[in-house]
Amino acid sequence: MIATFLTSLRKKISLSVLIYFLLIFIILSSVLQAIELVIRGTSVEVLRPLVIYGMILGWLFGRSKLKKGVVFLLSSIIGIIFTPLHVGGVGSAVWNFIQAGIRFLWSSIFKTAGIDVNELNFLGAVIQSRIMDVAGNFSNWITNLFSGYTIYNQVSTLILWGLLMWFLAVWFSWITRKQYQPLWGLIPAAILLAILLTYTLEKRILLVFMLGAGLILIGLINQEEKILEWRRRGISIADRLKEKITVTVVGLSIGIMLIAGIIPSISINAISDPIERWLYGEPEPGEFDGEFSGGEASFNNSIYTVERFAGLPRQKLIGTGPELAKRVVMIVKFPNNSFVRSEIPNAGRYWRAYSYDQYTGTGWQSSPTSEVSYKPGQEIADFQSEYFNIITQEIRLSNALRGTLYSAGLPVTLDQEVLVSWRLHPGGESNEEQSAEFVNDLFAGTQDSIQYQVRSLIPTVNDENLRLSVPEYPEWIRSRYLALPETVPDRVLGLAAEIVANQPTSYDQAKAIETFLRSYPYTLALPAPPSDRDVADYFLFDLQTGYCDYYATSMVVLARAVGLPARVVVGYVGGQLDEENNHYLVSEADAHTWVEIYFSGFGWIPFEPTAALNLIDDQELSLPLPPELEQLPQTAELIEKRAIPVLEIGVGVFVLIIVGAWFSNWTDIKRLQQINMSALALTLYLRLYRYGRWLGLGHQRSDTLYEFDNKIKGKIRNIADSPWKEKQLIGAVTEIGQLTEYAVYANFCEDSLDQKLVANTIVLWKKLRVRLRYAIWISFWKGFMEKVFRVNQDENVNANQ
Amino acid sequence: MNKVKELTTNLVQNIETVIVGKRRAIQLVVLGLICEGHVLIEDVPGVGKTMLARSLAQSLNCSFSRIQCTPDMLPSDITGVDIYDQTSGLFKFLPGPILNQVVLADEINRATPKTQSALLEAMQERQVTISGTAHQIPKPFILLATQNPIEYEGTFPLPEAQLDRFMVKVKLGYPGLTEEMDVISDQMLVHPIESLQEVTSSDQILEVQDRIKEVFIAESIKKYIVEIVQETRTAESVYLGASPRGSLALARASQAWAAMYGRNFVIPDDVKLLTEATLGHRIILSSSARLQELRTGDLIREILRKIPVPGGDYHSE
Repeated sequence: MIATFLTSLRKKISLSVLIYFLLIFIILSSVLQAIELVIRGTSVEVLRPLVIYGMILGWLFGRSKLKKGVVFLLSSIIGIIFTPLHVGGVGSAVWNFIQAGIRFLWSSIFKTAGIDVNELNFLGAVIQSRIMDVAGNFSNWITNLFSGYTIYNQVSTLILWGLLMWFLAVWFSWITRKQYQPLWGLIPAAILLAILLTYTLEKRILLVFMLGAGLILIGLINQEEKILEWRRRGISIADRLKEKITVTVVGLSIGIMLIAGIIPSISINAISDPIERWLYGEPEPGEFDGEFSGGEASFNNSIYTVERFAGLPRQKLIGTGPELAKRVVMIVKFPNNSFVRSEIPNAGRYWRAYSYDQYTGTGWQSSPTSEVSYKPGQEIADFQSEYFNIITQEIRLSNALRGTLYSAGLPVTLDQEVLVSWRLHPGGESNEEQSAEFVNDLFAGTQDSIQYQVRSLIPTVNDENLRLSVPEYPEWIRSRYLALPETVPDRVLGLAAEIVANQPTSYDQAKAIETFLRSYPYTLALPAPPSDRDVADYFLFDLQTGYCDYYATSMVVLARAVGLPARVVVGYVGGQLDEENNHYLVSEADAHTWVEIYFSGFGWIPFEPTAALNLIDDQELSLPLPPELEQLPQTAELIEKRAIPVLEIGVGVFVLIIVGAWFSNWTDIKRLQQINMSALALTLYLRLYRYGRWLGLGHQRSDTLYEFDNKIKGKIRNIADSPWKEKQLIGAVTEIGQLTEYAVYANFCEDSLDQKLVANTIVLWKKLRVRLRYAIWISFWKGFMEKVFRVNQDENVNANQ
Repeated sequence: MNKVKELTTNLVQNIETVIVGKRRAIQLVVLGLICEGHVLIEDVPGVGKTMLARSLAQSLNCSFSRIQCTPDMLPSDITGVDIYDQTSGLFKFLPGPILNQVVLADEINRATPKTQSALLEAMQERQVTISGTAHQIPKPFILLATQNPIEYEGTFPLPEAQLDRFMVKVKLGYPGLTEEMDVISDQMLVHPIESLQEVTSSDQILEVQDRIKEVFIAESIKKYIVEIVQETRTAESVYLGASPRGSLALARASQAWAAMYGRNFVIPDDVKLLTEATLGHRIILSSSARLQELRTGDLIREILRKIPVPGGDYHSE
């Protein structure tokens, strides 16, 4: 009974269907991976079953004769009911309840000691509470959404993405099965994946997988469609052809996939940039888009405070919520062991990347910049000063941060080429004369690697010295770093004056502002600020709580209000010391914004207005590390490795081919040894026939075995035109003769062939196979040469004419 | 089957000493003999038809007679007559030339239909009935009829029903250059038939005739044979196709051919090889096909190219 069920199942679910399923699953899984990577709170484990059920449902719909609309309706209803149930864990609760119910029935019927009614009630209550939980979460989120607040809610996120993936899966497998149009299923998946990958430059390999699987799927499905059509029309199709096409499709797809994987130009950038441009328009450096407010934060920019568009982030919006994953993104090592733990000055653990000078009221942006390239070891600028120390760090970045130059304090030299963005002199153009003037106004640097060694300046100047600084600034400092937009309300300016009222020096004033702000409590749970409000004002008077962006912005505004040149700096702070390896592990959660204030005669000194920095818990870093951070190779080694490992790939593929060929031969022989002699004779003859086709023998259905035998022998004699080749090939003639004999016996003789012949026949086949392959190779080569030769001849003839 | 092979090979080689370079024709004649069939030899005069029949008879150590058919011939000239013996006062049977083991009916299409039918009846029944007495023809019995294709003047073409009774039709054809030179040198002093040895006996032939019936024909080959024969009936250029007797003849001939090569089973090659010889004279082309100068041989080759040969599943590709 079970056996018949299994066989009927096997008949219904053929191998090809399983392959299609697998391919669709690979494609959708890569989307899932990207979702998990980008969308906070989603997880592949939760979403995967939805995709699988969706695929199965879509396939079943495809098999049925349901109309498009009915399918859509049904899958919507099922999806809308099923997704929340699945996400809320109601499914497992129901399952537990059913199990308990059966046991309860059993015990009550047979009067055995079984389950208590209370337990059943409890399980029922669990279901109820889970449903309530999901519904509550979701309705809460919806209400908030309509009332203008976007709050983050994991359950709602999962439900939304689960529904999306559900529809994607149903659609993909339905259209593949029903219309034989996997492309229309692939397109939405690919667009989704590309958009998702835009937000993280990691895991671009997902696109490659999708490409490969998609190509194979399209090829196979189209082939099947063609074959069905041929069948309908009664055109006989050769299995050989099918096999050939399949091999070609799979081979080509994998080839394209490999090429896509190893050619860096076909990277996520090349794919995502046009999409980005299409979605957001061309980002123009240094020009702030006034409408780009933080007020109605869309789903996407609520995740990333820093927009990673085309190179460096030119803008920084406030109030769009930081990404606080515990994922390690950077490892910092201080090579000279003088710096360990407590000995590292606090400033040595502020890894800065960008600084912003223009306050817009809702965020920050940078003035126009110009890029200058520096050679390895070339000093980015002459920063000789007794008030600064140079410290050396070895920094390794995860792929997410790749390309940006991070350093503790301002960078001095790098062990590789670096491109530095200098803010242009106000009103001036970038040229050599002016470079001296804006030399200190660094926006950010980019380098082309994930590991580098950087020497940078950290201030060692003490409070006493800083108090000596007089508030006299160069013109460009004043015009750039004291500017405030008119939108800053007067009460902010008043507050600033109030804070610094009794402070005698610039330094004391700055410290006072810092101290004042540190009294505000820290929190991350905030809705986006209203778009029509000045952020600093909103923070200082309304919120009175917030996170680093608010603190830093407010401090800069307050400082500028009282005539202290200030700017906002973005980077990472702290990190967890890994004592064993003596390096700092910096996680996504360590992302930070702080303040630098300019002191005449000393330069930019960092301040930390954010209260309770230690709220960010460094103890729970998520391990394992991203693979690129796993080992710590030497810099040189790393640079060398960045070249495409053509040799390794080549050798690997070659070895794979050899091993694969050997293995397939071996399994083939093993299989041949199992069948009886008559079947063996016929099988081998069939192969001989295929080899014959490779040798260019036509397909004559009316040829008898002996006639074919004669043809192939003649062909081989023809190919063996030199004594050496003849020596190699002539054995084939008798071997083919022997095989033909066996095949004739197996076909037409009353008695079956002696089983003892099997061993010898297989030995014979092994030898013959080698010879035939050799012959095919020669004939291909000959044909090729003939063609080339003929072409050359033609050219000669033309030239003579 | 090796015995069949040995015997037929000897026979063929023996006859080949007389008829040079005509191995295939000789083989077909021997095949007719061991199939208990009759052979129609169609060719121009002087290529050795009579010599073939004579050397066959001589190799078998069988009685041989020759009937030269003419329009004024009577059936009794073939079968024999009862004549009155005056000494005994009784009718005495005087056997005609047909009552021999190897009979050569030369230019059979010159005889009148009446005579032809007597001859053909004798070859089918293997006996002659004169005045109510049946006279058995001694076994083995083979009739080799020759007909001359170009002489239409004063001939009576054999009706289809009678052509159907011939197992195979053989064409001798002219010998090649070297063969013809050999013929001249061979016959300079004495004709080689004078020194032809007998290589077998009638009993052995009879045994062989039984043995070939044991040759195995696979179902796929039976199907192949029938497909070929049926194709001759449905082909466009055919007026009359081969009869089931044609299928039988092709099957039996294939068995014999397999046995002659020492095989105890038939292969498609046998069938292909014998199709023209066994079916060619049973097919009448339509007049339009004849006008287009299509020959039976071409038609049969066309049919053979069309019908898929059985042989493993490699054709399923």
